[in-house]
Amino acid sequence: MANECAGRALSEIDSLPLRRALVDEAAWLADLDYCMTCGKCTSVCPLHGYSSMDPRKIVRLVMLGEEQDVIDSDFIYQCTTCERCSYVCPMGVKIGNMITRARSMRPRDQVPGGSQKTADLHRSVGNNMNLKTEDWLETVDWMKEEAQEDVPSLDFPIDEPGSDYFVTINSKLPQYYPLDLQCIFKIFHASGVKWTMPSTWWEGTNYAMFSGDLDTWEFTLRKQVERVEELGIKYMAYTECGHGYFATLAGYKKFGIKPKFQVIHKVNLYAKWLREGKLKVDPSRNPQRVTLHDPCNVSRKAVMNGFPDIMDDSRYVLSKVCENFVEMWPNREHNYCCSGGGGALISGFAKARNYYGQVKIDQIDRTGADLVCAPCVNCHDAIEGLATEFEKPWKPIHLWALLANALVFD
Amino acid sequence: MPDFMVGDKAYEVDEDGFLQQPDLWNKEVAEAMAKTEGVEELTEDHWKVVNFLRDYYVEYQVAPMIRKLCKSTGFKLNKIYELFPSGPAKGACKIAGLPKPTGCV
Repeated sequence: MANECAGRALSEIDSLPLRRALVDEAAWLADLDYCMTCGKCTSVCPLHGYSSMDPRKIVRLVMLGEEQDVIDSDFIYQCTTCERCSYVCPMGVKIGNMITRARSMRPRDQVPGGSQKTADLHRSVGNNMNLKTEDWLETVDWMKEEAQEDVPSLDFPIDEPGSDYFVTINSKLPQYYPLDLQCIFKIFHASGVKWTMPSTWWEGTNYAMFSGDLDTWEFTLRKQVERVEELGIKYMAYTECGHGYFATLAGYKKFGIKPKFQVIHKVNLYAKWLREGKLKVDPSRNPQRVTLHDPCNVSRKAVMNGFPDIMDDSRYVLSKVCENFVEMWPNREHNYCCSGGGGALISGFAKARNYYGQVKIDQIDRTGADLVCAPCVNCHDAIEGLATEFEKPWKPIHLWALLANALVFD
Repeated sequence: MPDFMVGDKAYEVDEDGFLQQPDLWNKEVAEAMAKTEGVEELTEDHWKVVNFLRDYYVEYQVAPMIRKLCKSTGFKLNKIYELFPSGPAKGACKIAGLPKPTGCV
């Protein structure tokens, strides 16, 4: 009989704790073992040259049994896990995964900056910024009322069972930038779909993956899955947050979570609804020169892991909602990190960020754009940081802001 | 950790310029930090925001949501963004001596 070994199911043997650990460990070492020391990883690394560490070197250190030097290094938290290294590796060494594993071996009280604190809050209160449910709902109401001044028919339920879409939000919006909530409300309202705003577990990020806290990564995913399933919802609309989307899909795979709903990135939904004619838009409302920053997690890393990416759809949406779109080069799978990925934005290594941010600045400058569409809250903030620090004339904008601005309501 | 100098007094800040020991905050620090955040001079309106953030933080050990800030100061959202061009998190909270917020900021 297939799938059996000595009368026992292979799945049973595979799940025995020691075997499981050995298989995982062997897969990891075997992967490193393929390294030919060619250095391609280092040649494409935005952090290369900043310190004495680089991707090739960390692979060698682990191979040679000096892994503690890697675990203790600042490099693992300065790294933006953009995974250009893994993308170009001719032998498929998963260097990004190795960084996350190395981070997981760092004692929690020695994680630099605020990523662990953010992950702890996510675990204990269900969002990154310690927002109480009543305060969150009050902000939702406030912004709904303001949006109704533009679109009187706009309305939506909270925690509505049987809705089609569960909408995730980055806690930065209610905390500091609630006007962005109005954009999201307007888009979902205009689409005509049945959607609901959750009162809890709506956080659309996952800093536990950044800090290397695998347990909290899994815990927070399971809590959110539980919430969506309790409501019997078909789709979780993942917000414009690259790592949150990636952490969700990669986490489901890693932790064996099989949700009864489908995760769809909001940008894929915008494109779908535009194609279906559900959203009517007037591009002349966005006359500025706009370029696009491809967030690593929803472009290169999505492709490498077999997850739906947003590369084509973000361009399609921009072509419909803006009059003057211009590409940034290199782009798509070859794009450079915003300078704040992988938790770098919150790890406290501002000098390192500004170092590899130079590449991003050059890329943006060459486009001559006024606005840099960054369909990722983290990229948006990193690009804003670069613009402020280096006094640049461009500024970032979310795709939801451009789309909402172009929406025409009957 | 780098130091932020106010006159000849050094204050420890993180690489993003947030005060490491929020208890050491004072008006002179706020005025000096404001200049690094695109606010040349702290007006009465600025102080209304900064003082509210400061008092709230001292009482609850967290930054208030912007909804509370607007309600308490009576300012509209846009007014807050105008007062602090680098934003409520990186601008106003930093000037009020709060630590760097958690999450994507």
